[in-house]
Amino acid sequence: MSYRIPIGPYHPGLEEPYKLDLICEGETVKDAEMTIGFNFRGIEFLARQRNYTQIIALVERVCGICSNIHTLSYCQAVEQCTEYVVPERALYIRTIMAELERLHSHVLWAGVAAKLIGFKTMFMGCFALREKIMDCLELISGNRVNYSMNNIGGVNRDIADPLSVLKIVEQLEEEVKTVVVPVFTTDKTIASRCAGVGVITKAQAKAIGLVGPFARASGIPEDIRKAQPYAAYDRFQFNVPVLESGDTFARVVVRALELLESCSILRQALTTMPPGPFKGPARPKIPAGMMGFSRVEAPRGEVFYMVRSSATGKDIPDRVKIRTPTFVNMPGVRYALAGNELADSPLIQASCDPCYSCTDR
Amino acid sequence: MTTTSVGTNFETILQKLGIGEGWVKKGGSWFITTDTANARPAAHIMVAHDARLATISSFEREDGEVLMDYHWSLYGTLVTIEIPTKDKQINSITDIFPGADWVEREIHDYWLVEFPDRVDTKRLVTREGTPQGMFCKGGAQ
Repeated sequence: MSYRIPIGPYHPGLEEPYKLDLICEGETVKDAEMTIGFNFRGIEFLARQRNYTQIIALVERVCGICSNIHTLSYCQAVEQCTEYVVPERALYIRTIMAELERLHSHVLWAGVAAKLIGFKTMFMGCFALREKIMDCLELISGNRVNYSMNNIGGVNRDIADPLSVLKIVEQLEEEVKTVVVPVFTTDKTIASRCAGVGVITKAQAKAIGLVGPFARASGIPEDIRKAQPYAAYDRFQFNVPVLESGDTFARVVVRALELLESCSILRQALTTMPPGPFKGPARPKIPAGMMGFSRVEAPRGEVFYMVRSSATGKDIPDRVKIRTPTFVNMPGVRYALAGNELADSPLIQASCDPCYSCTDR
Repeated sequence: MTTTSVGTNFETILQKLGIGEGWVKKGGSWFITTDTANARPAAHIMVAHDARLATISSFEREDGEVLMDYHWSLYGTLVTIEIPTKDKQINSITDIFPGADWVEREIHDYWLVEFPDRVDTKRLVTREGTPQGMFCKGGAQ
């Protein structure tokens, strides 16, 4: 006989406000139903009442972890409506910020995963490392959360001394190489807790349309940085880690390996930054009746923005559409949970790296 | 472990799809507009070519119909098929691409677009008791 366990929307077992109804038989999860919208703020609606520059501050609040990626994606979509050419130095700065944000997000996730696995020492180690990344972001932008770096046609601040940032990145890389990656890829406790748990097959991942590390752990090699390069990604050599097993362990390993690739991109960008201007126009002029699309590879996967400029030439767009990675990844958790132990359900959910601030907008 | 490699002659691929003439590059996406009020044939072709639905964006026209922009990632490249609703209705594609489920529910929440053949018509982001259709010209209902 099956029974239903309602969890959430506010529950100590869930890091995020959403409601999950687990349909179980004994200790086995047979199915799951999700209810979202508890963080709904109507950001797309509010964007119809702000001008193009004000919207940058608005979309920066879509997510507290990957705030930079939202301003980047929005600015790129608006730039597609114009003929602005973003200065080369600004493209490098955008790339550096995006990769620091990926490091910060993946290390945060690794800490949460370590806590759920029961590896408290690693949890504390990851959060200590995350502090250093946030210090680095503060050094560049003056802020630890909402960095206010991107602007339409450029960036707001320069990285005046890239070599000082490089020193910090090299220290971070050393910790990632010697502690985080070995623990998450070779530790027996982590492997035994995660291997074979919460499997999503490649066929399921395709059908749901999964993105980011969640998809790449199920054998789907898409990464927007390679598929449709933006910012300065086409100037750098890096690999996209892809694994086929589709289980929680594969998701752990993919993210751990992505940390190394991010460090590599940062090193290349910081040592080859071209001189020159970096700012966009003070008062950007957006032509009427245009459409712009932008996709970027956020830490959790593809973020999509669509901007329709005003049909009448006003300074307020007619439509800003935001699609975040968790919005497409979270339905996949239902497939990942089916057939697994009830006790594994928190870890399986976390392996998607969900963000409900993003999802609900 | 493998690495991504995407390289295609994209215009040739679009011609082979058989979705129609008139593809243009617009705002960073390959773009085509149709007036069929039916997203299903294009969805079948896209899925057959291993495409992934990135999302559906929507926008209300002056006549009250909603323009549905189906954004597909085809071999890593963004392809947009714009289809207007008819009497604010359009067929669901969730049986062809299950990943369209949440975005269709969200579009109903925002624009009151009906998907007549959908089984699950629950709200997604707005709560029971709050008005739906906040994006419609007349406001929420």
